[in-house]
Amino acid sequence: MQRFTLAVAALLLLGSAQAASAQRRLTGVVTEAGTGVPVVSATVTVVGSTIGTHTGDDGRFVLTLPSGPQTLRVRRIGYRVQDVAVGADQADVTVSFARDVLQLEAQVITGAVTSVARANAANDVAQVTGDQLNRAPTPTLENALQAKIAGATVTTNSGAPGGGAQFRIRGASSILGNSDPLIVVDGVIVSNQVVQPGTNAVLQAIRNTSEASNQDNGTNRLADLNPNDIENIEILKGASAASIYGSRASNGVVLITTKRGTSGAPTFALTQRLGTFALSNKIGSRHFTLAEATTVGTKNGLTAAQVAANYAQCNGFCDYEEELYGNKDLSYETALSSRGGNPTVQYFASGLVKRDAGIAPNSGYNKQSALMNVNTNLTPRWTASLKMNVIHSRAERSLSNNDNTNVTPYFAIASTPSFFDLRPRDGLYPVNPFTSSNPLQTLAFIKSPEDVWRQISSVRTDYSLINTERQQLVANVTGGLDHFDETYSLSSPRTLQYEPNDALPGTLTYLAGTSVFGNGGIALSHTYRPASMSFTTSAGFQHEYRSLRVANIITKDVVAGQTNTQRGASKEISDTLALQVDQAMYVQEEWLGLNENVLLTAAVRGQRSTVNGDPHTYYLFPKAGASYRFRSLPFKTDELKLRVAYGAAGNPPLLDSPFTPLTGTVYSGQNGLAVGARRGNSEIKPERQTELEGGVDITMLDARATLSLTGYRRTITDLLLRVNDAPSKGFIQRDINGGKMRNTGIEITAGATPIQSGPVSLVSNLTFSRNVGKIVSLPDLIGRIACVAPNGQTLEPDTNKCPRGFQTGGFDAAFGVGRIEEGASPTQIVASDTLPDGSAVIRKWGDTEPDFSLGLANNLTIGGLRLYGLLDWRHGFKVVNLTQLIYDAGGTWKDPAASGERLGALGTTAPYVQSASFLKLREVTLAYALPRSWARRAFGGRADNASIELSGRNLLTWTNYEGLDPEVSNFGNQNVARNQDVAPFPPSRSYFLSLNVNF
Amino acid sequence: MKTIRFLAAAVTLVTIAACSEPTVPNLNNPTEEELNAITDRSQIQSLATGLLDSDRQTQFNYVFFPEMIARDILRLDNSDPRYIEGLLGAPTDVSPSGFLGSGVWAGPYATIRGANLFITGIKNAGAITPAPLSDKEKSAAIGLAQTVKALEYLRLIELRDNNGIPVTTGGDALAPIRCKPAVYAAISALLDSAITDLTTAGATSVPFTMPAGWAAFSVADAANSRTDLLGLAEAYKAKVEMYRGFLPLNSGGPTVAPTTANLQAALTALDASFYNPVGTRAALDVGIFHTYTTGAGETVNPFSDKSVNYANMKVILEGAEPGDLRVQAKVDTSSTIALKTVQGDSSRFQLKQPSLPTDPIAVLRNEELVLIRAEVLWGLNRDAEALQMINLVRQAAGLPAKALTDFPTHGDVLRGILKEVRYSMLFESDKRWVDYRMFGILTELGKEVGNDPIARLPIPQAEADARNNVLTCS
Repeated sequence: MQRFTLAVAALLLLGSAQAASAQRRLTGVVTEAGTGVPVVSATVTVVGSTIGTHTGDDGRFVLTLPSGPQTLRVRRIGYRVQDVAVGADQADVTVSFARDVLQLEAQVITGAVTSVARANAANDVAQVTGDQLNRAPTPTLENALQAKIAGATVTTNSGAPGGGAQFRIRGASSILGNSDPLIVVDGVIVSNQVVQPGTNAVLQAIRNTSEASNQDNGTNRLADLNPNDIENIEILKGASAASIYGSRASNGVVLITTKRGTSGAPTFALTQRLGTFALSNKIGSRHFTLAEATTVGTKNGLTAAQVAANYAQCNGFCDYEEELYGNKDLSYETALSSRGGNPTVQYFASGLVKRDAGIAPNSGYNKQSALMNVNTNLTPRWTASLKMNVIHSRAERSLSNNDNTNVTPYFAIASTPSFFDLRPRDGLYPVNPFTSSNPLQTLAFIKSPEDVWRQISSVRTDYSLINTERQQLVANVTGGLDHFDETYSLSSPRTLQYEPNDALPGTLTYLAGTSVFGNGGIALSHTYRPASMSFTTSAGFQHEYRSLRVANIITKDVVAGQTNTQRGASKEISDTLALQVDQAMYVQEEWLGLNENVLLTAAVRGQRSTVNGDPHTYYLFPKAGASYRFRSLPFKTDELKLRVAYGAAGNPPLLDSPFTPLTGTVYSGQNGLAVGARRGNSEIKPERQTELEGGVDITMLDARATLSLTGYRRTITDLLLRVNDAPSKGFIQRDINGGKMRNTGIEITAGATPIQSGPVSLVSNLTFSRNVGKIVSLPDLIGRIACVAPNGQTLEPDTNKCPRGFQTGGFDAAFGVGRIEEGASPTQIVASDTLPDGSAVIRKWGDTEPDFSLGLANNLTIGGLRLYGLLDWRHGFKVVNLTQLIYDAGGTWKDPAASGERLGALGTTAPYVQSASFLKLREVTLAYALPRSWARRAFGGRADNASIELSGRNLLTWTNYEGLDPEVSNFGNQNVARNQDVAPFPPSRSYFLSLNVNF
Repeated sequence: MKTIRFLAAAVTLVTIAACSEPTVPNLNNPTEEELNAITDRSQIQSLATGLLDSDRQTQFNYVFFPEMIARDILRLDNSDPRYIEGLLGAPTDVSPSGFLGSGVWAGPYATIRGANLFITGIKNAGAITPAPLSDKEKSAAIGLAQTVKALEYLRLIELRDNNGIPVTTGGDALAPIRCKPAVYAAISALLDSAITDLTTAGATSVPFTMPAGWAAFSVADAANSRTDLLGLAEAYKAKVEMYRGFLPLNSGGPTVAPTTANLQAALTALDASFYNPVGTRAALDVGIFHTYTTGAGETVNPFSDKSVNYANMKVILEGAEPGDLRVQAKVDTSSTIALKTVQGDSSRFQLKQPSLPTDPIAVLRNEELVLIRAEVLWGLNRDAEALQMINLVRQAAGLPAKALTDFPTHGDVLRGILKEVRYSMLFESDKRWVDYRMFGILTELGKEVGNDPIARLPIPQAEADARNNVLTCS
């Protein structure tokens, strides 16, 4: 947006410069402060006139100036705006241009076609630049955002290659509704859906069905985007900022801007990375003496001699975590991009090829991506831009998470004592007598490739209908298409130990999904600038279409060696369609006045959707905001801004909420329709979030320190709830609107450059956030839970004194489940406890959300040497460690006494709800920028600069949690009852050596 | 001018888009709303198939949980410690929020709702294609649906016992939880209404094709046979009257006198049912079955996981007689099966029947009616006749007949009957557990991993939550 505006402005300026009366000629050069590197494509304008130009490849520019002393204003993204005085007879000038390390100059998107300067924004602004994203190689985009945004927590669901992370902004904003923020790339809404792959066909986490389940460890498709293409990410955290995105903005909006072309000779950037992933944590397993091994072994069909032989082969202990997840194959990433153009057409093109080798056999993540952004000026009044992005990814995520067949590797390891040798002999894998599968055999033969072919295209055109000094009217038409085809095929050969157990040996599945997101919009933006103020009015209409169809063929009893699902004797087919059409209209007014010190904003959006019970009603989402800048303050304070914003946004109902479906079945060859478990609600409507946010932004010490403090309170009413109906009515669930939830929190974003002297600089960024969620009320339809009496000794005899509530998510209150309860956090974990009088109660044991999250990034530069580190600290949250339960029940936990205690306490207390606070060293990079002469010698005369980096991700974790990784979710992305740890894919750390060359 | 033209075009476009009224129906399933009005016989077929399938989905847990509690089955499953922790745990160890505590609850109630929906649809069916329903066809269909409802309530109360269960009236109101005697009375009344409907229907078949395992019972009230829906309803009537008759024994034990009026009613109902005192395997196997196949969209037998479903070795060790054909057919004791131990419980015997994806599981067989008759006769102090009944099943099992002298006391006769119950009903019914509880001798099932048997499953947490956790029955 910003670049685009500049381009238009520059063009107009250039055009009129021809006509200006030439008075004198000024030459100049713009170089980066500190390094002296020439700055390409900076915009240089003469303040108070329409004269302007761009710097060339060598940072030089030539301007024709009016006579007399003038002031030049130099701008470029990533640098702080600089005004330079030019004397009446000065002929050349050198501008030392400071990097905007604290992003004070950024523009903030406020609507489909409008933006304001960050300095004026009425909301807390969360921006991550491409540079900040790519300081260490990242498996997928979500990982690169961890700990970088106050109020946004990105939590991976497992360590499987290819992504899968929950992006949660300001706590849980919905209980039933979508939990993911809206993703907008260059103005076009793109899909972040999860298509569950269907490992359930083998794992049976949901019993007696082979259809895909939410325990299949699917990936949200944000993972497809190439982080190298991203210029900037801006996060609108909630309704007060995002209501312009209407009824799906309540989880926040992630606005991604990709890189654009610049006019000038083509430049190229090449990055080559080589590295490896390695298992970063192990659970460990019990060591057995030979006598213990004999006792255990003979109870499971082994003779004493067999036990002794195995014991000897394993030397007493076989480390199956190492055997299974010890791969350290080479990973690589090659990224090449080019930008260039002339004043009429500019382009940015990029390509990416990468492979993240998995730590398990037959696992890994491959991605190829190509992107082309073209901007053109069709006429002086008419500009257009076109974007094409094609991505292919192939994720092989192996098997993980809950199962009921003892096939998931951690289920199998936890059930197999460490003295038994599972390793193949003469190519044959021994039958595991302790459980249904030999995990070494399973992972060696299971194939599970998930292929995604994706195409994201967008077109945007702006036409300037009126363009005078005081008035501008721009019409904008934007259209976008995001289409992907996803296929997943699981092949589990009939020779695997567990396969004959269902009497149908061999399993093949083929899942194919097609997703289309189309959206188009038309908008008008009018700016009126009377003296010292400006009014910006914008209005528009948007139409969105989204469809997803997923078909899955599951076949069992498969002929050996076959890969086609037709070759199975027993077949199951599922087919799911989703279609949604939304329409929205909006109008927005922004007033910037009092010498750009005051910004007032008001907007309203009306949106209707086919997913609502009433698809014809437009739901209205208003927003308002104000900010005031105090400048030139005492105590070395450059500027202080007070801001307050209010807005409403929504979250749409689930697609099937309005209907009471009958479920299809086949019995004895007859096609049947059985009643379903869920009651429809034809009056379902979006839930509504209103958010009030206020804060102060301070810039101090000549822009060397910034501090933003933000407080917010968001209230969600008409909550979408999938409540437990009384099953005795014949329904298990019903979807309703009702009740009220509140999130209150604070966020701190601080930036400082404590050291900035010559070649040495240190830039520190800190993010802190704390959110407290609370269910304020629940509708009368929901019954009251059994609660503890005020004496703390007994159950409250009068249940009318207890809060309303219902359990949801998880497996069993004996382990730890979610409970939506009046007065409690929506993300609490409740579990069994026993009161002093002996009665059983289910009470809160913890929360899946941390008490606070803190991120700290430091970037130290000494000449060409750069050291960067990022810490991610999350404190005060719990995980339900069911992986440990499997070990305990299998008798293989490293400390048998502790196992016995936990199993004994199960049901009377909650031994598996465990503290999971952690501190992770997310990113570390040591980089060295080669001197220019070296770069030229090594890479030819065109090389501008080159650097070598050594970087690591997730190198260190400090936690008391005894599971594999405190970041875990068996059920993928969901707001309530996350943090269920059930045999996940283990975490890895990665190391990469990278070479960057620009030429 | 250009501006105005552009604005006019924009306004027109927006107006057209905003005035088109997009709606999206349910693209994946028919909805209940769509089936409120039945227009074709194929819809009746679909609903009837769905109704019986809905019961089929309940069968696994209904058989599996009680048979594990009754020390017949062992789930040696590393992936879920709750089978042993819960079903073989201390009496309070079944968590109401887990899959055990919430098992066999929502399923039967959904089936009941499906039956009510079906009955309403049948009653309202007017001029449907290709031919309208006759009144007798309607009665036959409604009679079946009422019988299925009674079956569901039996499944529910057998597993919840003294906790009671809600008996719904079909409306949206939360039905009160009724205690066991009231539930039995309600089931009895439900069966009476089914019997009336089926008698009215006479020799008419239900207006749809029944699944293979039910097909022999397609006629409402066959002229010369009791293998019909009426015979099925009477069989369930006998079962519930037996439960009512033995109510005093539940807490008092087998020395307390039963309510003979109900036991007499049970005998009457048995005589009107498909009960057939013939000691051959074929005769005893007459009944209704849920069948399973591997065809597209079909359900496979959920018992067919040999890796975790073991037979409790007590099935053999506690006195299975050599040569018992029932044991030979159902328990796999082959020496190639390795001993397996999970959470301190071990077995090296597996299930033989059911163990295949296509094995059927009986819902109600003549053999069970013969055993019910034995128990009822015992309750009426007609021990010699009771013995004749168990000798029928022993004959079919290839075992020698028992004489009264083999049982020194009246109580010993009961134990003798219950031993035949164990092997006749092995892996297909909750009868062993339910009977021991009914006769007040539950602890005689013996301890497993140190614990006495649990007596009943709890009311599920979801149900409790909807009732403000007030769960007393009335």
